[in-house]
Amino acid sequence: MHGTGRVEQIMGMPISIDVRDPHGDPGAVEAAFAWLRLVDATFSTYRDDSEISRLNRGELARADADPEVHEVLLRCEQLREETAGFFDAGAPIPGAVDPSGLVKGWSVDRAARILDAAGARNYHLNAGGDIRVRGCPETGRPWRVGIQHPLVRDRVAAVVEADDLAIATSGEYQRGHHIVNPHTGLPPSGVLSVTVVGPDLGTADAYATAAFAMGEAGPRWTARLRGYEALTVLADETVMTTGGFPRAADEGS
Amino acid sequence: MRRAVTAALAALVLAAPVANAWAGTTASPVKKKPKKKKKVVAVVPRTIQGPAVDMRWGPVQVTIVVKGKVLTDVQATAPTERSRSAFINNQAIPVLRQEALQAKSANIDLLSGATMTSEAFAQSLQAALTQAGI
Repeated sequence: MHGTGRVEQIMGMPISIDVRDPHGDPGAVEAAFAWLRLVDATFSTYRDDSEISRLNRGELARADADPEVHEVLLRCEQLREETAGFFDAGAPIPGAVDPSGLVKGWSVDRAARILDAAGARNYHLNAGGDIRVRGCPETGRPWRVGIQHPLVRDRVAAVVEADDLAIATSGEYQRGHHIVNPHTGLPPSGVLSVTVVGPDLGTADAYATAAFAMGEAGPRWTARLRGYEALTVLADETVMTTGGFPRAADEGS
Repeated sequence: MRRAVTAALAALVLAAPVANAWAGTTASPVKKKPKKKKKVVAVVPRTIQGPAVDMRWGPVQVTIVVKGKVLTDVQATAPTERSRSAFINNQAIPVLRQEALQAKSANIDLLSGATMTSEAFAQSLQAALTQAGI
């Protein structure tokens, strides 16, 4: 099936949008990328002129920040509470905020809404391994998303089948991003990666980060999540999933 | 440096299952029909280039060769540095091809993982395959 899509480097990672509708609107894909570029300009901690950088330097009052900045920082607070402090957008610099852990997923969710509003029904967005799928890649079958095996690079730990789902994975093999337990400052033990799936990518990503930071306690915590399912790869490569994790019946081998 | 090289190899290896998974599944069901006039159509290989995508050590671009609906060749180039692209081609592509064959059974469209570098190669390849219509 021919699609309308491409890859762009935004927020320090390649982001792909691939619309598989027979008559996809290239304008919608462009609008979604324009939104993601705007998010990068507003939220990047690597850009001196972003709102987040200006907030952290005290040059911008929180009351004067963009409504989207408010929305994201508020959601970060909620997620910190929901995760018993294991997802923490304030760490590690006291007083400063770094909502990057939520911004990626949150902005992809919003980009998906731009595609939805333009009539797209079959597409994927992939932001550095955090994925949102809708519809199907070709007639008659759902999207199949492999979950990267954290140790064996050419293998998948599982395959997810979905027609409307967000999928986020956190692990210690992530480039330049070392997840620590915010309560101890130490990297978690006993777990290699956590994948969380559900309706919202920002939330799934935050839950995956939190569950990974919890270490061995993560799987039990994910079992209590409402509306979200999780797959954890333990240090001995054992794969644990919550009851409703949408694993494909046929995962190949 | 050695670590970067290892990462490069890992990325190349990983890329294969993502984009190539469906390359072997597009054949239509075999139908036995009485033999008519044989019409031989030469399938001309097409070369399609994916977008340059930034990886840790610089941009990487994937070029694929497609014959009909079959992916027949994959080349990776790092446009800004010749020695690197030579390295990628010489060292990693044979591994990539092998892994691509192994990965067909998993039949996946996308890969969720915490590694971003591998995605760069995979996405350039994926874009090239999308453009090729396979």
